[in-house]
Amino acid sequence: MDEAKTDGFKPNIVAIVCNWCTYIAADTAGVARMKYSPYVRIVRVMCSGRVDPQMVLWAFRHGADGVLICGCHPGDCHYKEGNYKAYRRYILLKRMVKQMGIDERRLRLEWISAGEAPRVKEVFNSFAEEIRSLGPLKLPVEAGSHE
Amino acid sequence: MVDEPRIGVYVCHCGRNIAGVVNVAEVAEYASKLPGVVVARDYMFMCSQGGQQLIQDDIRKYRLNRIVVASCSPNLHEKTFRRAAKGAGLNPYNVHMANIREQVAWVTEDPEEATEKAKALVRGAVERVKHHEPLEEKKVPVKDKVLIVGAGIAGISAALVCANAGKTVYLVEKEPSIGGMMARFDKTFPTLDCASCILTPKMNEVASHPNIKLLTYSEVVDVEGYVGNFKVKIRKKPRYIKEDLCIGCGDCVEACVFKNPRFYPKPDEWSLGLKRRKPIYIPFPQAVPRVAVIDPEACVYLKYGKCAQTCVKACSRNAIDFTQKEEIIDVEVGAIILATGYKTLDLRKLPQYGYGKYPNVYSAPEVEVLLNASGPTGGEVVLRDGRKPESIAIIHCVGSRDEKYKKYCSRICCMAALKLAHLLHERTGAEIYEFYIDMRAFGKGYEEFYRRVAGEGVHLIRGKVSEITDAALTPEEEGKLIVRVEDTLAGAIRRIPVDMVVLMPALEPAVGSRELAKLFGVSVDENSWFMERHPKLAPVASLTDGVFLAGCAQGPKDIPDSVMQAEGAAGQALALIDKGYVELEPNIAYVDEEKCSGCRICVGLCPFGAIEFDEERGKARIVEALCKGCGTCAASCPSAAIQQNLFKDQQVMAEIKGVLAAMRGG
Amino acid sequence: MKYAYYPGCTMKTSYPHVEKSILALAKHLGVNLQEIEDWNCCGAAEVVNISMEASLILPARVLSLASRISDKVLVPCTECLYNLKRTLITLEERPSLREKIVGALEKKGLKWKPVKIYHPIDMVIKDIGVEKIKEMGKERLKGLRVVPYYGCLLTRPWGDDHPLYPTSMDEIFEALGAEIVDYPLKTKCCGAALTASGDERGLSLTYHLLREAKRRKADVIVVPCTLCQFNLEVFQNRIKERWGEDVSIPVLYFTQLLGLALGLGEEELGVDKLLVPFKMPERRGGK
Repeated sequence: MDEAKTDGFKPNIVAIVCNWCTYIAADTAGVARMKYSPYVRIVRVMCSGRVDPQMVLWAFRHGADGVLICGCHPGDCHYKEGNYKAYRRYILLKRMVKQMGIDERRLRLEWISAGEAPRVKEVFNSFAEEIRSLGPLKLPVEAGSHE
Repeated sequence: MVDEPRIGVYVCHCGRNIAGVVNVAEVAEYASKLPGVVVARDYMFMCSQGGQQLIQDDIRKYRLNRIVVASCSPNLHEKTFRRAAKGAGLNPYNVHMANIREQVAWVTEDPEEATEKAKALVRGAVERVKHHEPLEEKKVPVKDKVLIVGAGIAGISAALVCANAGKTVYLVEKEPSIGGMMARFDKTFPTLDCASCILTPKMNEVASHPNIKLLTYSEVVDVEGYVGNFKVKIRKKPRYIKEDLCIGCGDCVEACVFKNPRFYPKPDEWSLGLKRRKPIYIPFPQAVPRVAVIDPEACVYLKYGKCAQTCVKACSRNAIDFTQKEEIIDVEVGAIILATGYKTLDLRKLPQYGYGKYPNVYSAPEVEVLLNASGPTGGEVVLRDGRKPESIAIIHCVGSRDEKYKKYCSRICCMAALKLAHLLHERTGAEIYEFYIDMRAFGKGYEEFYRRVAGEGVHLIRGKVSEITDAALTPEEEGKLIVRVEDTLAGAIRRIPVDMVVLMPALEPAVGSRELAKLFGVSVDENSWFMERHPKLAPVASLTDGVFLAGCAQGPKDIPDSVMQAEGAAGQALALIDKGYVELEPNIAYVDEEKCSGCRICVGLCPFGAIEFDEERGKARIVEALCKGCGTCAASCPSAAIQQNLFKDQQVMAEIKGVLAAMRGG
Repeated sequence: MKYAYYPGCTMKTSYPHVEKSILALAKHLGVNLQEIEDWNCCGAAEVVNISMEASLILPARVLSLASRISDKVLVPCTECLYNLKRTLITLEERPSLREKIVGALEKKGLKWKPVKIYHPIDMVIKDIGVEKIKEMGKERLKGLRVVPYYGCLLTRPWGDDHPLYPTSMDEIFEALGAEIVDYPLKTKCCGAALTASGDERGLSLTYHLLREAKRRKADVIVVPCTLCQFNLEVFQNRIKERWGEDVSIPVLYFTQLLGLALGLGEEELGVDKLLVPFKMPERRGGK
């Protein structure tokens, strides 16, 4: 990260990623010692189709400044079509977060295949940079327990 | 939460791998203060015997019921720690890993940031594991049959190992004959063994083996199921020849109405278009099965419905059957081996080398065929213009190690080029020039082979060829192909006129391998080769359980390496089958009937048809045997009545909340 | 379609007749060219040897001025094309340099806004389309053997075409009915400024290009660069003196031959000013 650009704000970013593609690409990026923004935290699910819109809203509610969803490229889903479902939900979800007063750029969906380790770095960096430039979300953080 | 959590957190140093960047003691200290954590420690190597012992002792001593291990990727050691927990009487699914090596230490420059991120991931894991519950692995019996896709040297080798172990093997090959690329070679490096002398016996063994069901001219069209229980649909194209009757005498081919070789309707596939073939043909003399095949796109009768049918009259066994239709064959197998091989780069993408423009520029596979005694010239090296070459240039790394085409080394070209140099010199007496960037002679006997060929008077010129041209500057260059190269050892630009140019093209995945990857659910790497589970320690397994990789489908390989991987894959497949059952990750979905309103949204969403609707009770039901654990239904249920084991809403959301809480300085 | 037009020094001083062809063709194709006001030299091949920054600020100023007119700038000289593209890419890739150069521009009241850089060939292919050209051309070049010569800088290091074996001009003139001569030297150097020093090595490069075109029985060489045109045209006599070989062949700039093929007159395309005269092929059948 560019030293001059961070100006103290460390964005809170959650990346909910598919087990079969992005999680493996992230492992490979690690093995290749690619350096990327430390503000993106990976949470693994089996498929981007598992990403319940509530998870995303939950993340915003609990202090995320940005949420990234990563899945397999269209046509490459390990479960045939989970990523299409993720995409459909994403389109609706974008509209919804906007209505809630959250800048829609704070939610992003990206396809990263298992072979695309360099893209992990690229996408994580660019998303972190975007969130940094948008500044903190400043939603009141929910203190209650889960469920 | 099922019970009061008593969590043990174990932060691994992984030598200097993690501890060199992350302050592991600080992370452990941080973890020890999190609610629910009874004990938190850091340790040099958690995966070692000592590390595992530590966990087991703590489980007993502190009555721990949840374990968090912060170390490497769960893809490497999740099984290790689950086993350790189980050894101490804890349910293995009460263990969760935080990946602070691949996701933190190795990708973060700043140690403070790395430590903060590690804390966040640990907190996420701690919060998550509180919601874990004991689960039972599902044991499923395994079908004792193997499917092998691709019958080149890799597929053949794997098939023979499995078949000799007594297993039924379905060997599927899309061409009319098995043998693959190797069947085109005359000799193999570094021993200069006759390729067909070592391959043909194996091909024949495949053909006659009682355990091998050979399906040539066939392709896999659908795959269902999971490890141990795959259901595969295979389409067998019609040959228009009854395989059981044909003895491969070739009388029909002889009798076909096409008589003049120049007007044969199709370029011959086996000889890569160096000659043409009739509509009815036997792919090559050693073909297995040695059965004729009729090409419906070229056969006059099949195309126009009218022909003298001289072939039918010539066949003494009445083997020709124009009414044959494609067949769909269903098989059930426990393990799959993909051995679909490679193709060579389209040389027209490098117009500076003049392939396709200058007739005397050849690709290496074409020269292999040209040298082959069964080839169009009977092994004579004659140029397309009928001349015998007096000087030949062989160019390495055409498209390999090249940012514009393939970044990788194609591994086989250096040795194959030396082999061709030797053979071409032997057959023609021509002066041979080899243009290489680096000579890579890494295998057993390879360096010796390089020395040998170098000693035979081949001109070895180090430098990347910039162009092949017919624009002559001097009288000596007239009528020749001029190789322009920077000779980096002599430090000069050279122009070398030759009669023949051989390009060593980069290897790339075989046609259709992308589609095949989707079909079998295997991942591909950045160059579209099938991806192995781990580049060093699991080079034979794919990322999909029960699907193994062999030969060039996984990356460029020479014959010895292909055979090694194939026999390795066969071993893995046998190990899987002989165990008799598999334990499936219990990450399947289940329905909480109390919450289910019977809306049926989930039913249509399941890609595997694993959700049934119980009309009587008005509830959805998961068919466990069909559920693959993607979680799509869980994400879509409006009443949160469907949950996915190991990825329950509470678990994932607790993890999200955990990583965020730590980041906010909590 | 509106372009900022950057003619460059050579075009203005030595090749006004080629410039005529560019303007005439643009008009014919309905392209609006607006010459950049107060443009400056791109720095040619020399400035970069003295100062990297100076070699960037010159094209940067041109691009900045161009961005006021359109998001596309038309550059008929390949040396200018190279310098403008180099600046665009350098400023994109090296933030520290960008800061400096943009700062310098801003001091003079200029804004930095990247624009697309087009050679007339790009304009024809991307904005007009080969299909359209084919329709307009009515195969007027039928019977003409054309060597499309691309030179060093058009495709290297940046361009949409194959860097070593480009085919964009081949496609255009083939669509116009011409017979394209297979010309393996299509991206070889023309001698560039080396010919001016009287060095024989420079001249020999020009010689090889001309000789190969002659040997392949070409009627005309078409070039995308005025320096190439200069070298190939001007030294034909000297080459004959030195090597005793007749290499006389007309050399046309891209827009000149394209203009003729689209039915424009010789005079308005400056074809009458060529050193080696060029005649269009006789049309057979009177149509």
